Amino acid sequence: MNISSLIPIEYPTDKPRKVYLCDDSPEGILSAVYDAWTSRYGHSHNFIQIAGEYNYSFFCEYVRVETDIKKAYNIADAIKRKISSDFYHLITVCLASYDRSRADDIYRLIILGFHVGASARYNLSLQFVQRINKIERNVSNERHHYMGFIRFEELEDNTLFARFRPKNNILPLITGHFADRYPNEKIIIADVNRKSVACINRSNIGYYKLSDEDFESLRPDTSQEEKTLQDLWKCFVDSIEIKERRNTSLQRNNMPLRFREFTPEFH
Amino acid sequence: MLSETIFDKLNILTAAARYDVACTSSGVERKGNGTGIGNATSAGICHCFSGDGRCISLLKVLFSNECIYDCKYCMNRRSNDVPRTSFTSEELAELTISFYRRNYIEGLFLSSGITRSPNDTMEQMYKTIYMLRTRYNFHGYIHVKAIPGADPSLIDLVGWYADRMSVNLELPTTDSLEKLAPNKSRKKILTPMKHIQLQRDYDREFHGELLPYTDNFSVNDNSVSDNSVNYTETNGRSLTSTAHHSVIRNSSNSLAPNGGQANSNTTAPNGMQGNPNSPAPNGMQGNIAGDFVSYPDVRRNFSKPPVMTVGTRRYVPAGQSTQMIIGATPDTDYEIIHVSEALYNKFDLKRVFYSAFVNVTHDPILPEYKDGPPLLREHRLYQADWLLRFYQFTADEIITKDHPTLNILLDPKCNYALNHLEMFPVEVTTASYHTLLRVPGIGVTSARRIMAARNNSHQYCKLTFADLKRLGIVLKRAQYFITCCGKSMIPLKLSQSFILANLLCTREKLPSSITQDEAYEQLSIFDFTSQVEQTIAGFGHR
Repeated sequence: MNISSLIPIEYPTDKPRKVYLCDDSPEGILSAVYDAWTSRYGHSHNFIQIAGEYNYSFFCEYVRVETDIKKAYNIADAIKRKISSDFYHLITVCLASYDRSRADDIYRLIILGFHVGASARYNLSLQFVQRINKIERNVSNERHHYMGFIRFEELEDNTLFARFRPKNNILPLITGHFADRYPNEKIIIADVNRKSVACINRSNIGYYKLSDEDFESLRPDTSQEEKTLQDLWKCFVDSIEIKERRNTSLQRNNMPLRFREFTPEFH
Repeated sequence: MLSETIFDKLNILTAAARYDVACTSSGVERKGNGTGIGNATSAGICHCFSGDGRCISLLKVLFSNECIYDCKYCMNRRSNDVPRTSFTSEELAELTISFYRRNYIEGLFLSSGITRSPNDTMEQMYKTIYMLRTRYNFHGYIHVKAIPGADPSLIDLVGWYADRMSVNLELPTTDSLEKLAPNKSRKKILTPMKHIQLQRDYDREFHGELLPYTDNFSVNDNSVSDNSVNYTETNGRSLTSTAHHSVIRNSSNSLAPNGGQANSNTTAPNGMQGNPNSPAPNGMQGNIAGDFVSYPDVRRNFSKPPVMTVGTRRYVPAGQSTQMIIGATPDTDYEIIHVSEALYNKFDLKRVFYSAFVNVTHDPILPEYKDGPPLLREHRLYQADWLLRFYQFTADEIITKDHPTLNILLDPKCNYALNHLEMFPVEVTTASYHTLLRVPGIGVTSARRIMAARNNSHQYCKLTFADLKRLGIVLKRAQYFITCCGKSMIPLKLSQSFILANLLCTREKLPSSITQDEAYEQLSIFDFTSQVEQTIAGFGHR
């Protein structure tokens, strides 16, 4: 395969550029990948964009892509079968990103993957591969941070309840870790940004998208012991600090304020 | 249910433990198996950061701050008038689980003052982690301090339940240790360290992870036979199911006064005696790392951490670490780095931690620092430590006897590069991984990325400087030392003064005490005065 046919041409001279507008969801992006590919219009003339408010460009043909689960499934299945499950994992991680320009990079990576195999992500001299790696790093770093920074509260019926506000859609990526860690607990993790909730009960995981009112009413009562333990934790965090080495800017570097919204020790 | 006094206890015993470094939870990968609680990830997870910017990963507490020792630097020394208290095993286990359930912590870091005897203390700590592992089925991370002077069989008991163990080296040289910690001795500290290392090697060999007797060992016939004899004995003792019973009997015997001491001497591994004839490695003459000379070099294990399933017991699977106090004694960086290298090479440590000295006891023989603990020195030592562990440097390359202090203005790698300009510039599109690692501004990650990009690149998309920047290479440092496709990024002048002046223009933030009285503050790219030459001469090798 000639790699240059993969690189998008911003102002093609032979025929107009085709821009595919898709929904901001994994299924939406994969549907657009499917449509762009099967159009046989030429990868360098195709461009995938997430629908939203943009300045329209001249000399472009805009196509609205309807989200189609079947098309998305076809692409996903082909990646798993023909490339590798690791590569599929990379794609799912990138799909979970909040970066609105990710759709086109994912499209190109998938095509490259089908031609050169799972090593596609190491073609680091290609700019879209560099961007993909950056996106992947951003999502998995945030996942790793929240593995530590999520705080559970014990509810009256012993359920563990946590809220967090991630930038990327990492809820589905993070539940497995907690299901493995607390096998005998009932757990609820709520993504405050997306109003989605994951319920874990003995390694059964369910995801629910809540309406705004339902999500607002999600204010469960904590157990009696909870307050004491939060105070104990605050006491620990306070006395572990070496006052002679005080360095709050380092603390902020390591744990930015956006992670502290639901942590008891900073309130 | 937690008792009323738990707040005070937690407060006192946390404050007493805060000068221990090593709040890491890395080195072991363990998935849960559906029972109990907990798992562990090999990268470790930070759960919070305290006001001093250090990571909180484990519940770091002392079991007790009562201590019969009188180490001059220690807050819990016998002669210091502070409130004393102890946890009970039940309390501590329950607290750990309650914190762990709420995802506050990754596990427990348990250290202790010496309450009555080393053995007694070790036994209390063992009870706690045994309770966590068996009653609560806790599969999270546990780090336990081995108490110097405790019976080896007690250390073994703990080793089968902990993930990481550490023995504090406290001070880099024997002399300083004698002066500041009269109740401890180098031998007392190194004995359990060696014991844990050997036990760990047997365990790893048992699981087919390691072939310990390779190159280094074949040099010295004596040490081979010594070790292999020891192998059969100790392996047989601790891996069979009856082992634990015999060990427990052993330890209860040793609780008699002085029993522990005698016992530890007799059961000390043969390897401890070492071979007095074994040649001293380069640069280890004199008393610097003299205590380490008699130990044979081991092959460093850079393999991935063990992936464990719950239920299998492994002996200290995440390895052992140690820590040294920096700046309490006049020991030089040269000594410290050589000691670290010896610890890595001869004791197979995972980490050596450096802790800038904080004067809490104000003992007259301890130095007082006006502008706080020597944090920059600690930082430079950590940088040098990273060079030892990940960048294939040797201690002699980092620091020489003639200039026994690390350059405070430049990081050790820049300093090395400036003094070895004959190696540069490096062509990034052809250089080996080893050579790339020597370039300031290229780290392990970016060197790997460069290798990956080169292996997968195509004829017409060669790497450019813009690509290097996107791959994460720090060009503000690397630009003076590399060429890319035969071109340099800026008109390159390979002279120390040119590079130093430029590096210092974009230097990292230095504390005001250093920036005030040094001359380089006024330097610009245009005036390379003789002062710059002096700065280099002062820190350079040549």
